[in-house]
Amino acid sequence: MSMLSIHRRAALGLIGGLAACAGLFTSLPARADSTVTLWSWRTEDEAAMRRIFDAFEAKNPGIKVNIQFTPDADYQNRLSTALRGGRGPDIAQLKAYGELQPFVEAGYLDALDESVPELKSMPDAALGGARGRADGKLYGVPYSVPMMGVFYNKDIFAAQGIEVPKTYKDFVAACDKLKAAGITPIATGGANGSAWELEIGVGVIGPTVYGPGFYDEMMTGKATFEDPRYVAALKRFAELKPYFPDGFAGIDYTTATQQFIGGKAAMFLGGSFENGSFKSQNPKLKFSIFPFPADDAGAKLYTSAFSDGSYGLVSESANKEAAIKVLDFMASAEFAQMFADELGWPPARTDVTVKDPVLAEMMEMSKNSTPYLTLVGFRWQSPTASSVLQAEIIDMVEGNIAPEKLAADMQAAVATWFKPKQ
Amino acid sequence: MIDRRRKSSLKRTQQRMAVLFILPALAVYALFVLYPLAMSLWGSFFIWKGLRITEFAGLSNFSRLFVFPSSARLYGALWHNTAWFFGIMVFQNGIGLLFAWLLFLRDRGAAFFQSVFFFPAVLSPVIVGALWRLLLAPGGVVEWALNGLGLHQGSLTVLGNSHTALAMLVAVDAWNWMGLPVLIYTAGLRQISGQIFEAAKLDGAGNARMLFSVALPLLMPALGTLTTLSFINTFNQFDIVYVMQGVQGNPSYSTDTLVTYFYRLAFGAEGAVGITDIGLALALGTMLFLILSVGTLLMLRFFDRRTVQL
Repeated sequence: MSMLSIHRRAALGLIGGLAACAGLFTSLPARADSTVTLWSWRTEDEAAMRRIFDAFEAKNPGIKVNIQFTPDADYQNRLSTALRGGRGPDIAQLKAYGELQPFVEAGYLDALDESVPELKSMPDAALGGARGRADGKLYGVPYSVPMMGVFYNKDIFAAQGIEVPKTYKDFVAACDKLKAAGITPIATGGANGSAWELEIGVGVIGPTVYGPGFYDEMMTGKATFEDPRYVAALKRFAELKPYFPDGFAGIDYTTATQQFIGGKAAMFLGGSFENGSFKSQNPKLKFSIFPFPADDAGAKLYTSAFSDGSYGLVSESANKEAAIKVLDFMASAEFAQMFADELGWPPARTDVTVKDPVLAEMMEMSKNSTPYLTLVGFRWQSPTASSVLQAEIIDMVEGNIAPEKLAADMQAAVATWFKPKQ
Repeated sequence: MIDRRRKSSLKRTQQRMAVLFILPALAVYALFVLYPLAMSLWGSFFIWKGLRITEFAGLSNFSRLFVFPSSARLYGALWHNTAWFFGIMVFQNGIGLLFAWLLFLRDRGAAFFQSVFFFPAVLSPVIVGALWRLLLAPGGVVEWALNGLGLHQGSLTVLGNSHTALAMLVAVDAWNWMGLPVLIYTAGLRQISGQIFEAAKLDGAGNARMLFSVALPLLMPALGTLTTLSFINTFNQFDIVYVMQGVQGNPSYSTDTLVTYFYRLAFGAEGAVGITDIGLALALGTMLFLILSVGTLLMLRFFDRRTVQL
């Protein structure tokens, strides 16, 4: 290659670069921009959220949305530190229920009941997670109501001649068949700090054992965790141990999901949010979801549902007018539709047309839902029912402690602060 | 007379200069050590609502530590830290002493083995923890090896078992820092005059007798240093638990330590969710500070008294 051609290439590259810069300048709107910063922990949704807000920006030329992501593990710390120092975003993604309260109590957020009218068209299951506990006002725009069920590998089910089980007996029979064929029936594990996944397993099984009315009984104090129905739910989870992977006590969430995604295990007890991640990690995986079956074939199958989180307006934002426009968009049916299409988990609003078959299945299941007991009901103050459940559940499944003991420990922990609504 | 006065004024200017030179370091120390320490002590006397200090609470945060449900976590963590400390004393410093003694007896290749023992200490505990987590996982190398040797059957779940998890973490920690006692003890042994060992040998002492009756009393300063260091390190134990078992000290809080409990309270992981209890966390932090300072002082005094001077 001669010197000349190198120079020419460089020159051409330079010209191209300048052209690109010029393009950038001309694409900026003529009016002064208002940039709304938005913080989120859902790093895995970055590309999808970007596309959604590109559509918003195209329709609202005066407003730019600058999304910044912090990994989940550091998010709460970063947000609380920033808010304390007055350097927070305009809009913050907020965790639901109990985890929202410290921000509300500290006065870092504005109530949105008046300013975001679209909130009125959202179902209560979605709004519950964004309510301030003391004043009942809404401090965020919820985006999703995930529910829980049994993800299953359609290819494995077809190859083994297994139908979606209609009763618990069918379910156990299917597990036995899979095990005999050398396939791990249910991938799960909660070692190394991922015991929340086992709690979700109890959430999958729970409603079909203790029934849909149990949540209200717990909230009004008619029932406690020591109720035989709750103990029975724990027992049923422990009964499934033979169908869990070998060495279940030492397996963590990541390993368990890999077993399912890689086709080594036939089922996975999980929440809706797995849909998108399963798909992106193995686009070839053919899977769907079904509600955990009850004892009777004809029974209506209830599933645990909860509000995943919301987007709230930071009180100290200097940019509230534009931020409220963004929040109003996030509460709209249009956003819900894009959210469902882009991310594949149930949006907060139900007035959407669903294209993804797994999501359609999930939306169908969520019609018979009951609040995810340990999260919706008992994560308001520490110690939570979850902290006890997550700590002791491996020991219960392994037979080191009785389900009754775990239930009693959960009750003793929440009894230190939980006052039933009479 | 004049001479002395001049000398004392010179001394005074020197002292003044010294203070001046210390000031920058002192300022940095005050800002980054004393101030946070004082602030956390101050904060432990208040009720925290969410992330803000609200009202004065006196000693109620401290008394709350000793009441259910916090008491269960506190006593559990205290017990685990104590067990960890004794585990380290036996398996790290005890075995380290034996290794050092063997290396001392057989001089050839000592330097090589010393570096072999010291090698893991080069690695961060986070890496060591992650490494051993992989090795000890079901389907991991350790399981494969044990099954192959016929010492164990099926899958290995020592980290998921609340009866064995803590012992495993202590073993990993001991493995990580084994080189330190070997290094310090060999250095200590080399400083003891050879004549002493020769005299003991002439008196008919065997190797074991020489170790326990002759070398060990003379190694008191080394033992004191190691014990104090181990005490401080084990009561501050966090990284290995965090990496291998998560901040909840799974399973069933069987590997929970004072610092993981502190972390959960301060950063909102105690309820397995982001609910903080900063007042309680600061009270726990203050208590840990007291345990460590008093414990360290007592240990230093104990070993100082037992140091044999020849």
